[in-house]
Amino acid sequence: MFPGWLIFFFLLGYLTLLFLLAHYAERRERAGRSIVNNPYIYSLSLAVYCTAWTFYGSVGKAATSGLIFLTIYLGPTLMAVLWPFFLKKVIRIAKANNITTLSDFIGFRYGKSLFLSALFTVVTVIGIIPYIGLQIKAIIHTMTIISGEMAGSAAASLLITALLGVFAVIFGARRLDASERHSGLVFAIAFESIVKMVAFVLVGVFVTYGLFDGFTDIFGRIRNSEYSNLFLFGSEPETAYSEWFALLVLSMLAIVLLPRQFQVAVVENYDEAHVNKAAWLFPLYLFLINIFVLPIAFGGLLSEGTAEGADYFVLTLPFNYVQENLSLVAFIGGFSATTAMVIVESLALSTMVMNSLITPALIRFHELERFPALLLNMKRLVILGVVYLGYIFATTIGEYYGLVEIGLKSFELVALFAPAFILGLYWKRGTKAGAAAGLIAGFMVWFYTLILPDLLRAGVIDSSGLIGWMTASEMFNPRSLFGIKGLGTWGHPLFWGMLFNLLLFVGISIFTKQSKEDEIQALIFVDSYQTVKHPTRGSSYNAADIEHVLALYLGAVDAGEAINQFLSRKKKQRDELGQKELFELRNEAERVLAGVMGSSIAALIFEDKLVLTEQERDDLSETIKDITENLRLSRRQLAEANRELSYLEEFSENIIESAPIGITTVDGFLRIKYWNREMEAITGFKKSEAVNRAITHLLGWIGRELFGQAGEKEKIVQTPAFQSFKINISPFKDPSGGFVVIIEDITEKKIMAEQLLEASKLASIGRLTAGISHEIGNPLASISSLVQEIRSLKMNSGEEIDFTKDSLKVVNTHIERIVNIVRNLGDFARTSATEKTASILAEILDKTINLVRYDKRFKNIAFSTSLSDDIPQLMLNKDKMLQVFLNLVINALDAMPEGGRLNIAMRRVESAVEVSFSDSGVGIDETLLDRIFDPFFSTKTQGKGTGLGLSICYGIIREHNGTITVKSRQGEGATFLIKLPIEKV
Amino acid sequence: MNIKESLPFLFLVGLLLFNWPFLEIFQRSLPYYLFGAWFMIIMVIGLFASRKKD
Repeated sequence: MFPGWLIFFFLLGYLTLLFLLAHYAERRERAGRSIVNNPYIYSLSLAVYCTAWTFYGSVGKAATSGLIFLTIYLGPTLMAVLWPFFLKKVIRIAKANNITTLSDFIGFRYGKSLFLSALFTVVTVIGIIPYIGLQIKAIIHTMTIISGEMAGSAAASLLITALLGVFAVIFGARRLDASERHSGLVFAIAFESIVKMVAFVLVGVFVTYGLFDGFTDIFGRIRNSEYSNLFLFGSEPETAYSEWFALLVLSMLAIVLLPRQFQVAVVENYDEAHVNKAAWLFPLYLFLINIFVLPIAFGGLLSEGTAEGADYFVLTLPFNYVQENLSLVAFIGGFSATTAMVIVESLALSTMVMNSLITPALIRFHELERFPALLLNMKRLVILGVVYLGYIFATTIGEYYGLVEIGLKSFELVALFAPAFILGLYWKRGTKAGAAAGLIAGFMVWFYTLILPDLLRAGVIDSSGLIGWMTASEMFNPRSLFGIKGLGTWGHPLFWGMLFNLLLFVGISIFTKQSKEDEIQALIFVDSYQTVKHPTRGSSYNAADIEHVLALYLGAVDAGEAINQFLSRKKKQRDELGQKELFELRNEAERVLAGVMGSSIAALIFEDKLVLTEQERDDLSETIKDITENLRLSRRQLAEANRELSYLEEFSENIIESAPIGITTVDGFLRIKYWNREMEAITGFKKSEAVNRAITHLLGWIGRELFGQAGEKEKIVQTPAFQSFKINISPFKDPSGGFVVIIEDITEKKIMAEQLLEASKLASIGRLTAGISHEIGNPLASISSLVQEIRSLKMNSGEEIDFTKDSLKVVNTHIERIVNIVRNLGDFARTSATEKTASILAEILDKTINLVRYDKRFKNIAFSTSLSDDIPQLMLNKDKMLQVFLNLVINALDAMPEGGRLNIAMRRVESAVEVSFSDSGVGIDETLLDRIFDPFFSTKTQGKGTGLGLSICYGIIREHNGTITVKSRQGEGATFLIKLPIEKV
Repeated sequence: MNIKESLPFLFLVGLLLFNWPFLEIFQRSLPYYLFGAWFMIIMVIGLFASRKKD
């Protein structure tokens, strides 16, 4: 035995550990490193299903009724099979509408009915308070067992129960927004799931292998004992197949409809993808925790010789065999099972009560300044109240019932929600009236068949009156209504309750007209996973009105924050919101308010404050009908579009395959996914060789760096085989990444361009020849006459020798001049460089002037330059640029046969350099300016120009990413303006 | 068979396995049968639910 005070402090220490774990999880959550957002914690939190009933009650049930206890775990396993689409749908709807409780879910489904929500809440409270009491009863009993003290156990249990309430308040009701997840709470629950399983398994191993020789030994001994009927399934009425089936159905429904399960499975869900893993992890947990139930139950029966006290065999067996530490572990395991349930269930119930009962009642006080604080404190009080009511039940009525009996009565009650809840998800015709009538009928059957007999037995209700007569009659016997027997203790109320419930729900729904609100909600729940509302005309409210309504219930700060979050998401100011966005804002505000007050009351508030006119309601209804109709049409259109898409796909593929350019696509990892025929011709790699290989490996000359940059990229590359390719790379818009690579073989084109440039140069030289011949001719004539003169001299006098020396000096000067001219022409005529290099424009201009200065026409020109000092080096092909300058200057000379002015200016304008060539020549007719850069267009008389000069200039400047323009008028000269971008050298 | 067809099918199979007549057929070794069938269903759910495409 452990002293009571020691147990109390031990539990206090355990609760402190839970506090610390929950606090740690919340801190991680705030830091953005959640430890709760994963399928394992989600699955473990679902194990809140395993309460004291599992830990203690299952053993008790197994010891008295054999295998039937398993139905409580097989049912959830079967239900989990359907989770990947059933539970996911519930989660989507709940999250889209900020629904935080089961009663809200049902109320919201049936026309956002507050009445329905309140009705379901009342029924839930009636059914679940005893279930919480069951847990507290287990705490009281186990404390008594382990401490051996009756006195003080109840007081200590009250204190512990109060602490559980405080825990639920701290980690479940710190803020008003119930839609916020409770990461700390969930983590603590998950931890408790591990504790209770480990504790149970340890006791199981001790009993199976410590007290007996394994499963076979225990099972063999039981078969040979008076308890052998526990193996003979179906021999007892209690374990009849109908009873088995009923319990299976009850537990299947309970795993969906218990408030705490809705809380952990739906409200606390982070990611619906977690459901897939939980669908088998949670059943696996149930499987593992149940493996040792039979050995412990049978071991207890064999050891104790009686089934009395079987509910607590888990604790008493180790204790009786002087394994005190193990019994303490078992006690902690049981305590974990109870605390987890009490905390989550009280939180879920309090949210239901607040949303459906208290907030609607308090709403008239919403103008009070501290209204939000009032609501929050009320919620805290409700949590503590729920836990306290459970305690009262445990210490009074609960004393007379077994653990399983209380639990099953709760299961029977929540099963009544099934028709409205499950059919509401898949059947549009269900109405609010039908759901309410079905629930009321089902509740009456539940009360009559399961509660009334106990009240009569306890003398709470007089058995001599009408009720007494009814219950004694064969027709209205609560255990066999209408004289029908054989359904089993739990199958009987389930059958009749479900029958009346379904009949009224379906019958009334079919024979009553759905309201517009009912229709809209049915459409949202059945056909869609989220609210779709589109206004067709102007709304009668604005953002300020919506904020005002929110502020009334949340306070100005939270309301402002909610509105600002919406605006920042939409990247708009308040006055920029259109009708559609205002409608979205209203819905968002309603969802925020739903998180605090429940969806039904939030809907009412917004209906009341932001009144929709009858016309707007009609519009909304019509719009939704249109959407449904459109969806139907869309299916047909989709099939049609699919066919067209196939055709387009074939069509595009044909074009791509026959294109004279190489086209390939690569994925985000640069692996080739498509490779057209021309790519095969260009690269020599067949499609089968190329696909799925990295393009940068296959075609090494495509630089990897081009794929790392945003936007479209173009580059000309030369392969080691001297092929020239123009590569264009465009990223896909698809978020998964990838690129389209277009490769054009420009080898031929490049050779032709080079040849054209050479021809153009020769043409320029030809045009200069006439002017230059004079420049060479004059010195040659001078040289010739000097040579003649020298030849006639006898060289016998000092004067003749001096003359000869002077003449040779002159001849030398003339020769140097000619050599200079020829060298300049030679330099210009030699093969052009192909690369761009860092170049100084002024130097290119100097070379140009050096070439033309020998032209005799240049002598009649008043030439001037105006060069800025801040011209940076540019990446240029010097030879090509020289060709451009030369063409422009020669054109200027041609335009001024009688002489004139030529000014060349160079200046920096922002990120470009402008070079202008202005002459005072004959000018160009304005009507011809548009064609001046066209190939083979010339303003000169036939035979004087090829018409390619300016066209080549245009091509060269475009190659340098620049522009060339002209301004001119007939008789007023011309100005050519070149603009070259300053690129990084 | 996609997941939307296979899971309801598995649900029905499970419902059948855990009810009459199978319970009667395996009555002599019911605990082993129930735990065995249970474990098998869990594994099959795991197999179906962890498939990427649904």
